[in-house]
Amino acid sequence: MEEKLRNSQQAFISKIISNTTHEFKNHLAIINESAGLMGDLLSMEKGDGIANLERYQKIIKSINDRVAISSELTLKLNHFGHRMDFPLASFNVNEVLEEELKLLGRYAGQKQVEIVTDFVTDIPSIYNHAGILQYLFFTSFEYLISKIDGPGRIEAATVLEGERVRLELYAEKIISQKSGTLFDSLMQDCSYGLGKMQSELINETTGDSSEKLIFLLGSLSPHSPADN
Amino acid sequence: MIKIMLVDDEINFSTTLGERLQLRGFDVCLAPTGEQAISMMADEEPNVVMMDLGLPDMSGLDVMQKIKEIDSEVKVIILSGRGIEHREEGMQKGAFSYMVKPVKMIELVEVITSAFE
Repeated sequence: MEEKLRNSQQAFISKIISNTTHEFKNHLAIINESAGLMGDLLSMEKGDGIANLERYQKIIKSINDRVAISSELTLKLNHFGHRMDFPLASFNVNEVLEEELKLLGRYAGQKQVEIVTDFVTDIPSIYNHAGILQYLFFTSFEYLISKIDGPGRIEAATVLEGERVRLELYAEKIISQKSGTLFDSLMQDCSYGLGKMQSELINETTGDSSEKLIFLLGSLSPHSPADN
Repeated sequence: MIKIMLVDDEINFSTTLGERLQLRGFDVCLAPTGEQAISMMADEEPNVVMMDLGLPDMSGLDVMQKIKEIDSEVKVIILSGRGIEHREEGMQKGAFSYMVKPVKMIELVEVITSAFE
């Protein structure tokens, strides 16, 4: 019953995100065309010597640039929302993580943490819970951010390990004494989530001031009775 | 001259985009609903139909199908605000191209002209 309610809540959130991002894209399209039309009209009247022409053109370019950034974020958010429509699906781990990292960019920036990625190319798709992976990635990311002392960086890497994808999250300048409760909470989430994904977390602390979390992500069988 | 029918219920969007296309030498007509687009086909005889998928009265894909039944030669360009999740279905059902809003004018013009090369 609890699981059913959670799935319904997810479907609800997915619908809200999907409808709202659709709405955003329409507004962005209107802003884009309006700025574009202003630019068109200004270029047509160039010969008449418009005062501040260069400033107008700069402002239009700035609007266009912001529209492009907002459109990309909106598209990623739309895809993020749609992942909840199909709890079990075939997906590319790199694409799912890149989408999430794009959405986490501002959060990381506010925490003064730089995100560096090193994803293996030509990675095969896995059949699993992309939404759970994104959630676990976020909690791990949040856990590491909370332990970084001042400005720092988190490296996210994927490599192939047999038929599984090995996802590594590595952070330096870690304060070890802040770990307790946060780590327990992360482990609780991972225990449940990874159990559903039939995947593993290996916590490998590599030094006094660095920490590495390693996930081994496999595929579920499409015909297995795994819950969805 | 290439005639384009813009099918979109966002009037601010279609009038602005329409004006920009006119400035680039295209003939443009507007249809805010699916029904209107279908009924205007015979009189307007557009070469290109540029349409949103989220229309208020009908599914955009159904509108495209009816438009293609009226004129199988017309090139349909889907301008969707919904992302790429309907791209495959749209292309399978006969769209010439599928673009996600907001679009860059230079890319849009390239797609339109490539339809007649």
